[in-house]
Amino acid sequence: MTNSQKNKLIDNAFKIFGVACTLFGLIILAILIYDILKTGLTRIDWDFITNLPSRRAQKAGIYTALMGTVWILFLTAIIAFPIGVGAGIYLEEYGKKSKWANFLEINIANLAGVPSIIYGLLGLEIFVRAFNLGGSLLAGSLTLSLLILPIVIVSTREALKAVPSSIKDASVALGASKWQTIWNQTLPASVGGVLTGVILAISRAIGETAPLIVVGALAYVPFAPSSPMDEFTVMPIQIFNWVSRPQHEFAVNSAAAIIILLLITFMMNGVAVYYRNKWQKKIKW
Amino acid sequence: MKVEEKEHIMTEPKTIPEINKKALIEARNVNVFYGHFQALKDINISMNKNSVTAFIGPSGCGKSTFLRCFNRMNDYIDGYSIKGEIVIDQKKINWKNVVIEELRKEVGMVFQKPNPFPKTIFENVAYGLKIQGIKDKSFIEERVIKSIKDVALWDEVKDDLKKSALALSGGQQQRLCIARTLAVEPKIVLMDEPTSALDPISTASIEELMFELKQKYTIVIVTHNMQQAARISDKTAFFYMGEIIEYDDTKIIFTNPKQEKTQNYITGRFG
Amino acid sequence: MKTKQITKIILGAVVVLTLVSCGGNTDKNETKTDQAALTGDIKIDGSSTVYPITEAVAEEFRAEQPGVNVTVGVSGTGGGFKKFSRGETEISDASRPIKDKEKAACEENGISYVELEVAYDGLAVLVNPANTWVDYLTVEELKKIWEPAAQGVVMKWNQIRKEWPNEEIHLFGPGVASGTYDYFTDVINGEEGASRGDYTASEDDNVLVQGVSTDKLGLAFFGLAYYEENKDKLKLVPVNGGNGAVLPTQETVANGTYTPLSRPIFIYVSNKAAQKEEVVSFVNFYLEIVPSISKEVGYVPIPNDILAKQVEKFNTFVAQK
Repeated sequence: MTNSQKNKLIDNAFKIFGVACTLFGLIILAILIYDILKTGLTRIDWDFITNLPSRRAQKAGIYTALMGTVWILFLTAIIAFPIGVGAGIYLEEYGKKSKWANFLEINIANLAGVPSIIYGLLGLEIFVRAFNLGGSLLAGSLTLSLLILPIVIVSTREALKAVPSSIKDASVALGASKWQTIWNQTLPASVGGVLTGVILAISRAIGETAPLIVVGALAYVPFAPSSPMDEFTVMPIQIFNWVSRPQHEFAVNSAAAIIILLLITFMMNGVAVYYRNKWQKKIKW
Repeated sequence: MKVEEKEHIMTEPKTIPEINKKALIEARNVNVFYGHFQALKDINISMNKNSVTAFIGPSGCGKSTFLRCFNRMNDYIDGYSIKGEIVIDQKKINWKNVVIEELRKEVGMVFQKPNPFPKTIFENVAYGLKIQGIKDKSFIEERVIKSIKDVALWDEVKDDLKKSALALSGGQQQRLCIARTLAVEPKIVLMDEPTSALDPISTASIEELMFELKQKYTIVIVTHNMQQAARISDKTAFFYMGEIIEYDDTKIIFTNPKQEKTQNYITGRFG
Repeated sequence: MKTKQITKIILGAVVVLTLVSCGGNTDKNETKTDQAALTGDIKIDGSSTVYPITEAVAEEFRAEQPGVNVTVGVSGTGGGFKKFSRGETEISDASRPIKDKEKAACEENGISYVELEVAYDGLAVLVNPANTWVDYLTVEELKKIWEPAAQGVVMKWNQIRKEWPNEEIHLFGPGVASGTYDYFTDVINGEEGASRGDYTASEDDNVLVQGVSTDKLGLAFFGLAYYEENKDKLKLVPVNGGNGAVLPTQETVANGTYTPLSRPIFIYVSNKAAQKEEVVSFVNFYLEIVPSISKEVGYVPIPNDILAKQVEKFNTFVAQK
């Protein structure tokens, strides 16, 4: 076989391998989604969404768990993003290149790999006990914010790094201060990457159960939260709770709740991707 | 390109221009280092108001470095240090308490590769005013339109001011960048090889532009294109290995240079 | 233009959130009885075994007293006691009696409590329906299979009884974090937490059902409720605790003949909690309806006379304040 024939073979083999890998993931996902839909789709109706949990599977609903999830995501978002993006901007644009800065960088990346239960324990000691917030939404969202902060910081930095220096040069050459350049040029141009970090972070947060349980999220809560100091439960806890019950109808309930959870995730990601693409259309380097 | 190793010894002493009151830009005994590497050596030069000065010379000889000294863009480069004085409009600019942002309002810069912001055409030109805190909308609009007209871009974009600047062609983008620089009405415009990335037609239109701009601004342009330098500049400085070998009226540099090296460069003996 | 769109969406979301937050649970706001309307918060936490009962009671109580917010957590029996001993919860669900360490922690914080039996949980031993050889198991045989010394040694059915098949035993059981595990190891192996390690473990009993129902050679133990829900897939094994082989049923668990694998499950109420009117009302309600609730969620109701004793115990405790 000639060299170019061999290369062509390797080329094709690699292409097939790549397609197979992609399909593998997609097919498994499709099978799982199909299975869930088959089991749970018919269970979903307005009652299911607005009912409180119950021992009777027919009557049980996800209302309080759904509200808890929405609340905690909202609170986590408004806490984590300003801090995370701010920290990312500081580290990328203002942090001097020094041993300290390097040390910080390595540690922030490592934090993203710490098991989430550790954050739960940390949150329990600091937010629940020391700050005296109790097992409240606020304590839960502060804990989750800690958890997703590294993701937000790292992706903000990467997004800022990706803005070509020619833009920053043009801005400072016109007499802009460093902050004006960041605020008017670098940050708007990096919104795409920052939003990607948003997607990743939220997707991580929505499924986190263990740290929330440690912080005090409950299983039976008969009311929707009306303030950040209220007690709460979230969808993953409700699902886990139902999945381990002996009665078969609860398995159906779990499937239905999973569908709702997936829907929320897809919707959020969809919105974020939409805006990211819209922003990025304007920016063609 | 291999540089022919001729003797480093000057056959005649370099011409040192006299410090005069008409000078808007002066450099006195400037030495620039990047770490231990000396990029510029004993630079002395003065440039008059409303003149066009060209810096020519082979790659890596320090022309762009020197250009960037005037608006202190080198400050961002690691290891940069400068000795000597740069004086603009009778004021030394290398002191710690000089407000860099104010300096850059007086000394604008156009870069080699057009770098419009990913915003609308209007926003691009207005940016310089916006960051100065100017809020008067009609004033901004007036200035933007004037600047775009000054760079002969108005007819092409007058209906598209809200469109993205990135949709323009390379030549149009560069003219936009010039308009952006002019909008803040600087005294000096520094141009770092502004047409090297453009096609001949765009290049020609920008060269035409520079003739017009000379009336109001003082221009310093770094260029690899000797024909361009010959066409548009009043005075030319020839840089080689971090030193100014010769600085004189453009006519003289290109027809009857005093230094052998200059002669060799302009006749293409080395690039 | 874009900012306006985003602002609109965010405002819309906030509005929807507020509306739905207010919506939801205003329909259950009339008290059923003539009792005076109580208000307050009751925090309950602890065992996931007891949880279904407590949840059911809380659900029913809400219809009686909608002004009382009862919340229930599942931190586990141990986790529940930790919070209970710090006064963070009013009631603790427990699938085993309180340990000495936990008692001491309560005392340290000035918490005294009353222990109330609320139901029985039967632990069933199961095999696959295609398993034709197991007719019953004695406690000694169970110990032989599950004790720590059995790890890697007792691997085949015929090591238990010679006439049984020369095939592997596939074991399924709760994991070490489970109260069921604690209890089983205590009464079968003689020491809580002592067990062989080489078996398929899961905290989720449904997983164990799945395992043994699809494996001819499987043997498992888990809560009776899970057998009740999956009768067609499983074969129940009578256990001989010294007085003949007994099948676990509502009766045999309640009257104690299914032994030793039936255990009481408890709630603990603190003295501080008992001072609150709404807690007293709740616990009384609990004891009142727990017989019917237990059956519904798969546990065995305690006999009436024992239940009466619990009521008395509680009333005495309350009166002490």
